[in-house]
Amino acid sequence: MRMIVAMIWFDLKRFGQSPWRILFGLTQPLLYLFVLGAALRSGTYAEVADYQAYLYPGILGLALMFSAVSAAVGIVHEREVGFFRALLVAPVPRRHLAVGKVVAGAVLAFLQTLPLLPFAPVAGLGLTPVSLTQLVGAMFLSALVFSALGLALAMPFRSVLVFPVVSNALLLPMLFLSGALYPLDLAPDWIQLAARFDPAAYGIDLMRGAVSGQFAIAPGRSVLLLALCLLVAGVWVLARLRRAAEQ
Amino acid sequence: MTPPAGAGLAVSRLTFLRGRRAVIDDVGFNLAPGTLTALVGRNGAGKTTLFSLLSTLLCPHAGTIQLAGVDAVRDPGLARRHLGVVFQSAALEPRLSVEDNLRFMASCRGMRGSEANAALPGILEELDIAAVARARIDTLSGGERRRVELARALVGRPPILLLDEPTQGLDPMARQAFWTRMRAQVAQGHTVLCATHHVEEARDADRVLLLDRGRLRASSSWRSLTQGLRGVIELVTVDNDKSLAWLVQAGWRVERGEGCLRVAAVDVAAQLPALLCAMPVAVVRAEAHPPGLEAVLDAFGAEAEGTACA
Repeated sequence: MRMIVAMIWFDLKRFGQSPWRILFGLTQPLLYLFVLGAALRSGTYAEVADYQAYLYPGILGLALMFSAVSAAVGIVHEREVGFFRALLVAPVPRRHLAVGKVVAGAVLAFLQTLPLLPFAPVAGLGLTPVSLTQLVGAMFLSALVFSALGLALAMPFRSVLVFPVVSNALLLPMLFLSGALYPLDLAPDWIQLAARFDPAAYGIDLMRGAVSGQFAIAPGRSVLLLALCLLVAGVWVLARLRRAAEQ
Repeated sequence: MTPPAGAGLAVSRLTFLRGRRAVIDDVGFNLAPGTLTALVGRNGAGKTTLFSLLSTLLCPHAGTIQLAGVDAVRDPGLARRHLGVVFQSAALEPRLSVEDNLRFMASCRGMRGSEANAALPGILEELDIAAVARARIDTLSGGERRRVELARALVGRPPILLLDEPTQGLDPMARQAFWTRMRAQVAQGHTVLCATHHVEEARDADRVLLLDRGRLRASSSWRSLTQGLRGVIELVTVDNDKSLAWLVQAGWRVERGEGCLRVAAVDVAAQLPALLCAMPVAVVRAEAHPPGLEAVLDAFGAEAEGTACA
């Protein structure tokens, strides 16, 4: 446990070297929420009651997704600067290394998304202690899943220049298919079908349900599928870590 | 704090294949506790692969590795507790301080905060980096960074240290300082295996392992390895032509160098005074060069650089 906490602390310290990332990280979600949201509220999605309130959980999902994958770049950076080898020869069990990396990425993504919470009332959402607790729980579970997925994707890469190009190719479809920006029941059938395979759809629905009380997917099913996704991605990361030294 | 006694390194019939080619081929040796062993060989001889195997980054196809009595092939996790590694290139987080890097490594070794507080100042003092403890790694000089790398390997005082060309890129003074500190670690009981291209380092080691095309060609002291090998005495005289004629007549193996004469001889340090006394021409400059790494590698049939296979 001490090693896992140390890994989280180390990643937080490293993140603390560039605090401007928090500020710039908020720009994109806030643009989506208040510029895109305002534009679409009176246009395309005028029929969706209070579009910005609808959009808000999707924007939390977007921020979590992009921050978690950005945190996963850390492991590519560690490979690039050679630090990763020092980790591999340290007496840390590989499973602790995998758990530490996934949780550290999730904590970083979660902390970068927290500053968006005060904007909930501006978007037309009133949070109660119960809904806030549920929202925070859904956010952290989603952060864990996105962090594990980001790491699973990042493990084979050795250059921080190449990885973001590839990760964006995965993140944007995940975002667009998740129902973050529009209600999925207004989308064509093929999008609704594809959304069933998008972990972001379950995470964002959990968050939306927490703040609005209305779930499009049964919350138990979402939690189960997210946990399954976390397990599969976590095992993949562990397997890659075990092979990492030989690559 | 010194490492436990009896913490040596034993390798037996070690083999590692890439495809069908043996990159490490039936290698075996024992390193006694508290000894410094140099690993030499040309580029591509298999030194880095051997280091990767010993540091548990690679799993051998055959053979055994015992690190401080632990079977590193069967239980690499446990074996890593007995191991500190300095890699050829950097393995530190450049954006964080020396102290942050070392504290993190202490946590990875299962040390509590209080244990790290007690252990780290000693290591920093020992390696003369206490003054830069709070400096970011990317602000340090090359020599300081290498010392921090050694400090990282020393956290937790693992009994076995594997150093893969640790002084690469350092100037002679920084190299000498690093080597002196490493010698101090050996005196404390650490078992050190150090890959090197520098003859002074190989000469200073208790033992030298000579690796060539994945095979161990020799395992002996530098003195034994160089016994009977010719070194070179470089002479500059007031009349090199006359000196050359005399040297050839006297039976010396001699060739012309750039503005000098190069006399090949066994045990050059002992031969030089006698030669100077006998020379019929005034000598302006004389230098004795004992046999170097290249001469040793040639003598043991090591494949020339550029034709190596691994």
